[in-house]
Amino acid sequence: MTEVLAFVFLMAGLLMLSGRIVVKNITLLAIQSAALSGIAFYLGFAGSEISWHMMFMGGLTLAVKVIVLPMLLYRTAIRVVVYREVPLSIGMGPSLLIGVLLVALTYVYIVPVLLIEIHSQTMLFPVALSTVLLGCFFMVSRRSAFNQIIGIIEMENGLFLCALAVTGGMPLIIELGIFFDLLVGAIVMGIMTHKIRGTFDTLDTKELSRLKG
Amino acid sequence: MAGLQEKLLFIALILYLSGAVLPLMFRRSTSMSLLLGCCPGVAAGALGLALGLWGMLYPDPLVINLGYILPGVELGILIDRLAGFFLATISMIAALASLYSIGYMKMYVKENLAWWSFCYNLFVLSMSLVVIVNNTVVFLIFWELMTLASYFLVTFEYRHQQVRKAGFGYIVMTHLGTVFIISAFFILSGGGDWGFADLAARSESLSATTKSLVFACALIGFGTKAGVVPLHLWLPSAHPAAPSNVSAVMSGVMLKTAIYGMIRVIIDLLGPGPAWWGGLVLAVGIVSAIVGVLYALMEHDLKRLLAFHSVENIGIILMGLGAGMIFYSWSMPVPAAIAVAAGLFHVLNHAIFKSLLFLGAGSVYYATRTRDIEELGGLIHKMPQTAVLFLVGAVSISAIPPFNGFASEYQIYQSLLALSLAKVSGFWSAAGVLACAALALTGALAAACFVKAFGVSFLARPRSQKAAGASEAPPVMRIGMAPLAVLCLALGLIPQVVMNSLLGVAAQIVPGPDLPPLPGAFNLSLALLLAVIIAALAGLANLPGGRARRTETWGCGIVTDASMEYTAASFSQPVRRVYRFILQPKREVSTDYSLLPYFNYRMHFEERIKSVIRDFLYKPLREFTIALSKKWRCIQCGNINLYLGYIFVTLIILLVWVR
Repeated sequence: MTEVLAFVFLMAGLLMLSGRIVVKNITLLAIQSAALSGIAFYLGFAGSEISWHMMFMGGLTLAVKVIVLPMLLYRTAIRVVVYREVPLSIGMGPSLLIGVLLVALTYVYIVPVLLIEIHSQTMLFPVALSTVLLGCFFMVSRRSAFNQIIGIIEMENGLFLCALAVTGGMPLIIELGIFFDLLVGAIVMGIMTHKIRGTFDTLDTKELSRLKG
Repeated sequence: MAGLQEKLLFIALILYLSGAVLPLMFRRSTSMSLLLGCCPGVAAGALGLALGLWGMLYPDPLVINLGYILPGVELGILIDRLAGFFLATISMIAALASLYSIGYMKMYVKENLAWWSFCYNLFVLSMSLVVIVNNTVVFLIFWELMTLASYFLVTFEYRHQQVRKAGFGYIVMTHLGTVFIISAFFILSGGGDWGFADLAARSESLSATTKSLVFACALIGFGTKAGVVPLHLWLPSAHPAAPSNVSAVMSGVMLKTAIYGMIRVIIDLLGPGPAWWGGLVLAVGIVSAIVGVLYALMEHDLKRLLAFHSVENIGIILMGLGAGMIFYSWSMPVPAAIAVAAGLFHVLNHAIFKSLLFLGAGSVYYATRTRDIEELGGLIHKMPQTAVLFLVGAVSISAIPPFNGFASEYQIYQSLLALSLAKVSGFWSAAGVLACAALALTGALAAACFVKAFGVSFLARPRSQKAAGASEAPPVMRIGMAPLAVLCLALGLIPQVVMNSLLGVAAQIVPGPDLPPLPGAFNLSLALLLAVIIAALAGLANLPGGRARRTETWGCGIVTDASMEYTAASFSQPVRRVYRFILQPKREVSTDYSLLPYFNYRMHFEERIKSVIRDFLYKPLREFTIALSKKWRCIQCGNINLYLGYIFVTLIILLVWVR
């Protein structure tokens, strides 16, 4: 069961790299987060007794990352009317290729060779690590301020799964802190998006380089 | 007994904190917040003085443990004799400056006085705590708090660009200094325990090279804060930028916390080192003293002049300490203790007369709103009491008996001469005599400088409308200054009492055999001489038939006016000429006339001096840094994606290559 969800999780991340339409990417992000919360719920139920910690984290993920953040992003997207992506800094074909390479790097080299001493459930750990890299690359390859928000949430999803896979979740207080951070970060970046658009009449962060002294 | 001291300490802490917080609550009413800020400061300072004297005179140290603030880092209070001496000095000056502030800060009613009170009380509190904590980490925390609070006090009049610039220079320099202090502590502790006692135990096992490294770091780090040449650059700009009461505290006692740090780290923790340590401290002291006083003599801004004198006096203090360190390395504890005690005595004396002078300069500024002595003059008629108080400070700083500056400088002379009489080697014998000569030169130049400062600003006739309209400072300001003036005279008349207790302090740092106390309670012959002179003067003034006739000075038929007076620039001209290889004065004279060059002409005279250290040390350094930064700037293109790319590539490299 976790394998299927992990597959959905990874595919959503990869597909984001191929998508140029912002609204589609938001949907993909919501799907990825839903898969994450599914994994958390499953792990919570799978043990001999129900792990309330996992359940709580799954619920929180569902509430924040599947419902609240995508809603916020949709509303912002509609308000600033971005359906089509502004030009990418790396073309779509190459960026998908690099994405696949990153996943391969994780599966072939990083997890079996470098991080050999970390024992984890078979599938989840490489999936999580490659999603972190994919999210990072997503932020690098997109110029729109909007997509940077999506990228950072994707990275956070990867980290969250990492913690889930390796140690069975971080202490509750830290996870709460991360959620709060993320929410604030998204709001700040949302405001930034507005400001960039208001000042430069575009969401392209290339314009920000004019601010340099 | 310790219970009472503990209670006193807590009351003082609470008073300082309430002095910081209460004004913020009542910030609507300026006068209320000023009173709430200053009065607790006075009370807490008095308590601190009592505590400090207790700690200084009572051989057993007071130890209070307030618990752990970080794992392995204990917030402990340790008032031993050294800490007690500094606590007493700081508290006394701070209390009097707080009293003075009640009057002085009325000048700034339009400004945010609650913020000033907050910073000021926090500043004094952190200064007091810096000298009485027993742990390097806590020491650094309060050290930084002290720097930050004083930064906000320096930039209190932030609307002037000059003030902001001075504040910036101050914070940059002191932070650079703190880097060195932190390095010194790191090398000393090796990452282990941070308490002073642990460090002292550990330093015995360190190699000579490591010890020298710690010494160099501590000297540079604390030297920056103390303002020794060539690290003094922040000092002459920051002190005048701050309000005068703050400059008094900064110059009078904040610089002394750096001296405390030096004594604590170099002499107390590291123990006896090679003789060149002391020689280096002595050399730094000599250079600071001479350069400081030379630039002071060239200054026409009253507060900048006093600030340069701080550089000079820190130099004199370091001369005493340096001599002590040399004796200590020769295993001669008795002269070492005497030299260190002489240095500490000068710490106390400088704190007293320098804050007196700064407060006096503040009163002048309060009355005239100018600090340029070329615009002053004739103030002795308008503000006679302030003039007398300022004169007392000026005579003390010029090391003229029977005032306190002479008492401590005399002890330092003795120590330096003892250095050459110890006959260890020809080099040190010559060095001792030369150091004496340098100290004598410093004293003479300081006297010249204060003849200028006092003569030009207080005597003769007012040179400007501002000086003519001056009136006496409010009583509360004079009351704040008076005890300092009394102390100036008292410490000059009874130096034995002070030296005896300071020898106890020095004996704690430089362990050795017990010293016999100096005989006598006061300097009898000096006091007698003073009494005779006063009686003679009083007698002469009241001699029958000897009454002076008061009339206008006869000016050969020309009506005398203020423009004919001797100016500060002309007074310092001979010195400028003698020392032109250091000062490099540049003169510009131009004449304006309308028809013929002989009638109705105006002359413009300007003579600038060069700051050699700024031009030859700091300017190349700054240019190099800027050039390097410009080269390095090519990686900053301003594109977010590129920055993210840097992070991404670093992440991949770390994952692949670094295991």
